Amino acid sequence: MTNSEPNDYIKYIANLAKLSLDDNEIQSLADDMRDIIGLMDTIKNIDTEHIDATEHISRVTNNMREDNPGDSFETEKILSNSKKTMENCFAIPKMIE
Amino acid sequence: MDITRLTIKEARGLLDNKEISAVELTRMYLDRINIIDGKVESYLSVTEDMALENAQQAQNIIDSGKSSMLTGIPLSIKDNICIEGTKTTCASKILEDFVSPYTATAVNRLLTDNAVILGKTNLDEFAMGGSTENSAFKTTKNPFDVARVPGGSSGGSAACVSASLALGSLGSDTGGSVRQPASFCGVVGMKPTYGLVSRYGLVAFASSFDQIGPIAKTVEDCAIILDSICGNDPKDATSLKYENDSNYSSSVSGDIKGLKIGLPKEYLTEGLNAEIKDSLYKSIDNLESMGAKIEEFSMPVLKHAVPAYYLMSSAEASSNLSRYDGVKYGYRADNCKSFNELIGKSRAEGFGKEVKRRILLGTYALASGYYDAYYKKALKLRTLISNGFNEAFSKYDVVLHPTAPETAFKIGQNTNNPLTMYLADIYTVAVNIAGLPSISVPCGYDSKGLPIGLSFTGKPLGEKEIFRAAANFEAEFADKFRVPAI
Repeated sequence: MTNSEPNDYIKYIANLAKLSLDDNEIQSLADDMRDIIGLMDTIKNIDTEHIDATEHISRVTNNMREDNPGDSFETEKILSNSKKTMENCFAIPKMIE
Repeated sequence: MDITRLTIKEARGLLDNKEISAVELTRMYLDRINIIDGKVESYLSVTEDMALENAQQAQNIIDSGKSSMLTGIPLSIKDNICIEGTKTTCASKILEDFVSPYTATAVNRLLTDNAVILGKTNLDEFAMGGSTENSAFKTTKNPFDVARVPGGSSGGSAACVSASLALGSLGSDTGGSVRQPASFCGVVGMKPTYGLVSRYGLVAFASSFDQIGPIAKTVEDCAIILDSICGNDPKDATSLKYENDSNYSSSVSGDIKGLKIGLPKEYLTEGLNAEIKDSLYKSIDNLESMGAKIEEFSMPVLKHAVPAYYLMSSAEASSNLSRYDGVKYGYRADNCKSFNELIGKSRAEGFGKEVKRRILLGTYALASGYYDAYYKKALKLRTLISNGFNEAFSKYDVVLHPTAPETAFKIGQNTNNPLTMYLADIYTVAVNIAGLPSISVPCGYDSKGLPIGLSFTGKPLGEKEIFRAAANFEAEFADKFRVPAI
């Protein structure tokens, strides 16, 4: 985190991560993140030029199966954990005026 | 019967010989939870009605003479593993009221074997942490010293087994979250090979690292639980199609004469507490006296495992945790006028500080302009770490190492220092990066009487070798094994 305005950068990242943080929290997290990114920076100079990346260590490839229809969850059960529903749908604030 | 020393194997004998009924055994644990868990705070919820119902069904199976190893055995489940109709909170405010609409495959397999589920145990929020202090609801105490942490993130599971509030427990291990708390609480914790146990119904933290694993008093008990929960599951696309030709619990017998054990030099650095180092070398002497051949080897890339792990696991977490938006389930902020405000506020008010740090780190590592320097670099280190272990396992059957650089620390000691907490994962994270199996067993106690753990790590699907090595070590250590005076 070499930015001259580190808190601005935290605000930018928090916005990308959809976290609405207040100024106190931004300040406190910015202090923590400076140390944490410092640790992450220790890998920057390792020579890995000819090394392939490993996204996943799973020893499974192309896990195929027959396309047989199965039971689905009941709508009511899935909606039951939502704080606000309407006509068998999840409800959110109005998006289009 | 001394409940503090009772094992699953012994309880099986008592149940099958009708010396105790499954309901009596379950009642004994529920009563003990009522009396003792106020001091340990290992459970987030106790499912008493379900437990007694499970126990009655189990007794019917026992009476019909068809019991399996876990029939009627009281167990607990970490609260990031779903059981239909019960709360799964992940120790987070954001899931405080979440009721699971389905049951995790691993739990379903325990229930198919008629095990008894006593309740759900505490953890660091979303399994992010090494002390269980990041729980939004409770601070679990170490049964060996209630002023100290039980480790984490499966601290509730480890503490409840240590305090004999369940005969065994399911935890989850993303970077050491089963093995490190087992080590802090003086019990056995095992992380299986990636893909051996289905992740279906385990709330995702870092999907390419997460594995459910057992915690119990003995190596054999962990093997008995693994026998129940392992195996292919079409509901988890990363689940291995591996046919086990014999039970893991039968692999604990047999000696270790000629077993080749490697000890990575990079794990013997100045960060390792002197008493733990001393205990490690005593353990090495014991293993050698049993006929194992031990030699040091070097794997320099291991010193980069902690930053590589935090970059990759946080990147996966930032993506996995984007599902918590206040809409489909979980905490929802009040009085929001727009969709974006609803998501941003629900997440800011629902997640705790450590979870926010990981989301920020992961988002940063994946952000445009930083991806190559951080995330992709970490993925390349993953290749080097995997290759390093492959090379080690071409020479050795098992890799031996300490589980943690320190014993249990005081509650509150590291809460304001996330970096210290991250660095303490040094001996456990490489195992998850490479997807290997590993087991931590008690190997000694420091001058304060706090347990020390020793880890045996195996090659992919090398569970049987590590169970056998750990069980031999455990048998030699049996007369020194302590239970907490809680």
